[in-house]
Parts: sequence; C-alpha cells; structure tokens
Amino acid sequence: MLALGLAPAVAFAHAGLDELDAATRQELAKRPDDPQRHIERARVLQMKGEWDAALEEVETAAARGGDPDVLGQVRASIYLDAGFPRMAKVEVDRVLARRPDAAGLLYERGRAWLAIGNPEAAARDFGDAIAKGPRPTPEQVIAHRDVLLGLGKKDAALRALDDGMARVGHVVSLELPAVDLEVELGRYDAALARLDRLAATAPPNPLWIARRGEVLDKAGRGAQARAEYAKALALIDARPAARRGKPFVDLKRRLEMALASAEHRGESR
Amino acid sequence: MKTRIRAGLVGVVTSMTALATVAAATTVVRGPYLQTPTTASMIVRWRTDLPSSSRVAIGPAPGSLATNYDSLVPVTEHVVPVTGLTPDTLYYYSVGSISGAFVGDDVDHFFRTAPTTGASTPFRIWTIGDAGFTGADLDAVRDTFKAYNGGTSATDLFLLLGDNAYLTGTDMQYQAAVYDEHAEMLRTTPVYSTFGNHERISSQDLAQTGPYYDMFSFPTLGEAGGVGSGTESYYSFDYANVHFIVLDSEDFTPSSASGPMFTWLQSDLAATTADWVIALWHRPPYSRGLFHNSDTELNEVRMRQFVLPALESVGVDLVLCGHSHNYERSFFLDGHYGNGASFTNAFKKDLGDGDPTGDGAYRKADLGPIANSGAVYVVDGSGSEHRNATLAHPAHLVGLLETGSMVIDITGNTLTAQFLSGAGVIDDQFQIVKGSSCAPTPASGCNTAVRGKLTVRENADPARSRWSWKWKGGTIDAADVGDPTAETDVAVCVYDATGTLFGGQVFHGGVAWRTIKRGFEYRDKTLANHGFQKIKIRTGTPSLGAYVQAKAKGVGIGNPALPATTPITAQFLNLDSGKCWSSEFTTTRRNQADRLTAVIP
Repeated sequence: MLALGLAPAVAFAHAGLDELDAATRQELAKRPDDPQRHIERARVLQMKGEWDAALEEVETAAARGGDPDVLGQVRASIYLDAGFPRMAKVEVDRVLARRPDAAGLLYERGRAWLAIGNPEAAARDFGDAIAKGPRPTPEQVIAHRDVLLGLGKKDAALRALDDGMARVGHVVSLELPAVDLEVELGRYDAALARLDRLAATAPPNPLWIARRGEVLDKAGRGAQARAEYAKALALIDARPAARRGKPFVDLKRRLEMALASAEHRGESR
Repeated sequence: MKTRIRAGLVGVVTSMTALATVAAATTVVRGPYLQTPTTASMIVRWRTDLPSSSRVAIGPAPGSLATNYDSLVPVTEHVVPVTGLTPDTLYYYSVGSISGAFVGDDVDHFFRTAPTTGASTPFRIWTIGDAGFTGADLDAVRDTFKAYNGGTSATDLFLLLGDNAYLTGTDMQYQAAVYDEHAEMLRTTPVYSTFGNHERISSQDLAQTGPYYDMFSFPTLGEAGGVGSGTESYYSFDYANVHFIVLDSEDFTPSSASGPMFTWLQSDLAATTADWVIALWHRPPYSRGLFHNSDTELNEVRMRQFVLPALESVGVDLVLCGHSHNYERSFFLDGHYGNGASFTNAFKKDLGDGDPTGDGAYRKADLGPIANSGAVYVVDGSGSEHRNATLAHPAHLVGLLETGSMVIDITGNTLTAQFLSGAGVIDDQFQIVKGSSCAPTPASGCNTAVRGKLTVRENADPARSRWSWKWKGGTIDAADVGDPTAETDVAVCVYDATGTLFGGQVFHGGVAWRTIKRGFEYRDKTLANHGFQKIKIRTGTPSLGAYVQAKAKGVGIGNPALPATTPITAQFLNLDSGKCWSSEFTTTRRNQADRLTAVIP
C-alpha cells in the first residue's frame, strides 16, 4: 500500500503550522539526503499553501531516490490543492498505470475530475474508489452522493449510499441521508425499512423514532405517525428532566407540534 | 483444549509442516497489544518479522491456557478477536502460531475484559498526549505512572491523545514511541487513540490510509457500545458506566453543524444514558500553548463552535485534548464558544478549583448526562516534553509547564483526575461528584450543638408532610461555612440509627441562595430540592445567636420511616471543606408513626 495518500492538506491560514514547519526543517537539516524527510517537508509546505516550495521538495526527494509512486501522489495532492487539477490527474494517472491496485487514488482522481468540471467522471472514480479502496469512509460516500445529486441523479445517489454502506456498514451518517432520498423519491416503505435497519444497530434513539414518524406522516399514515411521535416523546420523557438538554427540548417541541398537527389532520378527515 | 478458527479461513493453509518451519524462526517485533475491549471480547494484535498463522491462547492462569483462537492465514500483522469471554474477568494469554506460542503464558501477559456496561465498577484510565518524543522525559512520565500505580503498568484503559509518535507518525516512529516505549502497558491494557496533526502527515483520515489506520483496531460499528460511525477516525465506546466519544479534529473538523461526523455525534449523544460522558480529541478548544492558540487555529475554533454545544447540551463531563505541549485545566465550564476575550465568570458553573483537598469537588445533581451542567476541559499535551508558553487562556484555572500524564479514576458517582508530573508529583487534581443524596452515614468530627430541635410531621397526603431542624448554642465560623451563593455546596441530612431519614445536598449558586447579615439563606417555594423550602445559616458565636436552620416539606422529603430509632443525628455540611455542624438526639419527646419531636434543651 502506498504510504502517503492525497488527503486535502487544506491550509487554514498558517496558525499552528509553525511548529511543524520548524520541526521538519530541523529534521531535514539532520538528514538532508533522506527522501522521506523531503516528502514530510513538502507535506508541511503544502499545508501552508506554499505550493512552489512544496513541489521543489518533492523534486529534491525524487533526486534523492524517493519512491516514484509516493512522489506522484504527493505531487498530485499539491497540484490539486494549488488549483491545477489537470496536472493532478496526470500524476495520478501515472501512478495508477504503474500501480493499478492503488484504488485509494481513484478517489483523488475523482476530486481532480470534479475540479476540472467533469462530475460524471468524478462520480465514476468515487464509486470505484469506494468499491475497491481498502477502507472507504462515510465522508467519501457522502462526496460521491453529492456529485450524483449535483447531476440530478437521485436514484444513482441512493445507490451510491447503498454501495457505500456495503463497504462502510449501515451507519447513521449514511443511512439517514438515504432515508431523506427515499422520501424525496416517494418511497416511504423503503425509507421506513432503512430506519428499522438503523434501529437494529443501537439502543432506542428518539431522533430516529421521530424521523420514522415524519416519514409515516409524509406517507399519509397519520395514525402510525402519531404512534411513532408518541413513542419518541415517551422515550424523551423517560429521561429525568435534568438529562433533557436543548436537543431533547427542541426535539420534544418538534414532536409535540407534529403530533398536534397529525391529530388535527386525523380529526378533520 | 478448545480451538476456535476464525470463520472463512479454514482450508487456506495447505501445509502445516511448512507453517511450523516458518513459525520456528518467527519473532514478535511489535506487541502484543490489546484493542477494543468489550464485556465479552478483546482484540489481540501483534506483528511478526515473518508471516505465520495466528493463535491467541487464553486461560485463567499461566500454564492453563486451554482455549485457542486461531487464524490460519500467514500474516505479519496479526489481528485476533478473542470472543465469548466473561465481563470484568482476568485472562492470561499467549500469542503465537498454530505451531506454538511466541510470547506469553506467563504473569506478564494478561488482560481484563470490560465490566458490565452501566455497572459502577471502579476503573482507572492513564492518558498521555503528544507523547511522541522518545527519551528521558517520556521514560520518566511512563515510569512515574508505574510507580504511582503500585509498581505495575497494567491498568484498565490507556488513552492516547494524538501526536503519539514524532515527527510524522510513521510506522517506525510509532514502533519507538508507542510499541517499544509502552510495551509493558500495551500487553496488559487496551489502548484507544485520537488522530493528531502529526499523524496527518503520514496517514489520511479522509481515506483511512497510512500507518495509523493500519496499526489500530478501533470500533467502527458500535462493537463496544455506542452508535457505529463507520470509521476509525471518530467512534465511541462504553466502558463500565462511562460513554467515551473519540473525535477527529483534523480533516473532519466540522465547518457547520452538519457533515458525517456531526450527524453521527448527534445520534450517538441522543442514545447514551451512561452515568458519565468523556470526550477526547487532539486539538483543544481552549489553549494558549506555544504555537497553539485556540483563538486563531481554525480547527480549534470550529471544534469549540460546533462540537462543544452538542456535547454540553447532553451533559459531557470531561474533555481531554493534547496539541499544546503543556498542561492546562479549565474551570467547571458551560456555554463558552467564543474567543478567550469573551470569557467571563458567567461561563463558570463553579468558581472553585474542584480539588477535593481545596475548594471541594465539582458536583452534579444526578448520575447520568445532565444537560449543560458543567465540564472540565483538559490539555494533557506534555507527555514527552513541555514548551514555555503563557498559558493565559481565561477559561483555564491551571496551567503547568512540565511534563506529565493524567490518571483518571472513576468510582461509581465520583471521577477523580490527577496530573502526575514526570517528577512523580500530583501537581493538579480535580473531582466531579454526581448525585445529591446524603452520604449513607453521618459525618464525624462535626461541631456539635448545645441546643437543637427536630420535628417531623408525616401526613397521609405526602404534600403536607414536613420536617424542620435547628442547631444553636454553638459557634459557626464564617470561613468554615464558605459561600453557597458562589461556590460552596452544602447538605442537610438527618439520620437515625438505621440510616438516612431525609435531607440531601444543595448546590451553590442560583436564585434560591442569597447573602444575609452574617450568613446565607436558601429559599425555594418550588421545593424542588429534596423538599427544602428554607436553609439558613447565621455565623458567629452563641452570644451573637449563631444557628443553622432547615425546613422542608412535600413529596420531595420522601417517606421517612417513623418511628425513628435513636440516636437521631441531624447535620449541616459544607461538602467542599468537610466542615459540619451536628445535633445528636439520644432521646425523643415524641416518636410515633406520624410524628417525631426531639430536643436538646
């Protein structure tokens, strides 16, 4: 596995990087011929937004015998952060030509495609990266979904979430967005099934039960919605008053309003 | 002997003879180390120089390791889940291949499974931050903990607060600063970690690649309790009566109240009912360390702006961070999400130092996460060096420029945290105590009254039941009383010979307390606090009319079992200093099922 990936080294101004800057400079002074020290220095310069200096360090590392695959990744990462996605893509392509097993890089190429303005290609690479990468993350899956939503492909976005969950697990940060999409697509039973699956992974959660009520409400199943709202309210009320912080107070208010509204609609029908 | 072979791996190995040959020459070059303890399982990991199959053998004592957990696939990174265990139970173990043990089966290799979730089993945490520089300072920090811990490194949990291996968190640097340095601890104590900014140079949280993600096995799907996050960058777990939340303050730092980590956090917080909530991540929300100012570093600002409100709204108790190479410890805080300049006393839930030997412990009214009830924020970043800095963040009560680590003991309703310096000195400590019930037995060494009176009326309608007590004829020193309007927590408790009759703790501050001439008065018409409607303390000498008076009524007083059994003891206690004033009634004038009157004439 390639040791250095292409995580965005976003420069949040320079605050906090001075320490790293000083430390990597010292290390480099001790071992000026070690390509790894130059790569580390390049990473820090990249974090600082000093693109030219970072690329110079990469080239020095190359001259000192650094691993061309690792250097290609670092170079691509710097290009991407510096706003040169086409050059980043060229670097990633070169590495992938030598190392087709480096599936994690596909995600970075997807980022490059996105910056180039080719979201279709980005979505393809994101999907491949998630399917083949060693340890995909919820953040990558959400990025894949976002690209597809940007293309207006809600069904594909939903599939992207499912494909992601097949790798990452049925986690709340992916399952709830999938529920939202199912609802948008009018697939209420599918949304409910997702919430049921989520509920099976953890102790009863008032947030998820409330969401279940909202889905039922939207599906026009008022009586069932009211039952879910009541269940969520009971769960909140079961907590001692002191344990109900603002999120619970807000949720309770929301639930009471939803319950009242559902009851009103039920009576008027 | 029982042997469990990991599912799906049977049949992979074709030549046991070949494996045995390999195993004979194989050496453990990392570990063993322990991960993700649950009530029924432990992950045992180690690294060998040559590929081999994996076997963990466990048993109740060295020489009696009768149960094997095998994986037949030859690897150098061995990850073996040991399952089907009993909670809070000590197991000895060895690691090796199916051909035999490499290390263990001795008194140095053991682990204890997690206590039953929710149980008040006492346990200890050792935590270090920014401990990535090897050398004499790190050795001293490690060794002083061992000495403090009774001559053994073994404890219940080992928490690493990020920047665990300098300079860049490479595998080789981890080998030196973590696996070699803490080998003794790691083979007996499960370790968890947060992702620091130095790890980020060689590992990527967005893709979970690099040495950090290769070497650890953290729970991603709620395996150890909590809601599954799907990533080892942030996750949660339960241990006994504590819910731990580990966050990523690097690439996943939220830039708004949204995003996968925030979505997960909300659900995780909504689900927990643990007695305690402890959160940890690398970059501190409050710090003025060298190079690291929480007002100017964006990740710190964002963690403070977006994460702290979510955590505090469900009652986080303690937040552990590193990043600044020093020790900083906050007041008991709530609601401060701005820059240091905007910090005022209004954000302090307790003006005291929380030190049980100083101003007294911080207190929360009940076990469990109580919303916005105060939290202590710690920068524990001097695990391997300290750097000179002003440490002048106004949210912090304590700042120390010295190396050290934190020892945290959780015993039921009490959390005690100590900063243990590299010189072996406890240079800071604080305690958080939860619950407002009276202690089960009367305090001793109290100032006894010359005169006193206790009356109790029980009514068929509990709302009309009442009791009152007055202590007088003695001296009450104002310094001993403290200041309940500001920081002193008090209690009024009444006992008979069989235990607590009624009363409880009343915490400082709030609108119910006010200062009166030579004393303090608590008045609460809502009777929300153990039914107390009035507590009054007048300091001074007997000739100045010093007294303590308490009145309570309604359902909040409980249903005291009358008639009482003498002796009956009524006490007013300063919970912070331990000072107390007591009346002991050895006889009663009336002692019936609905009425009690006792007088010290």
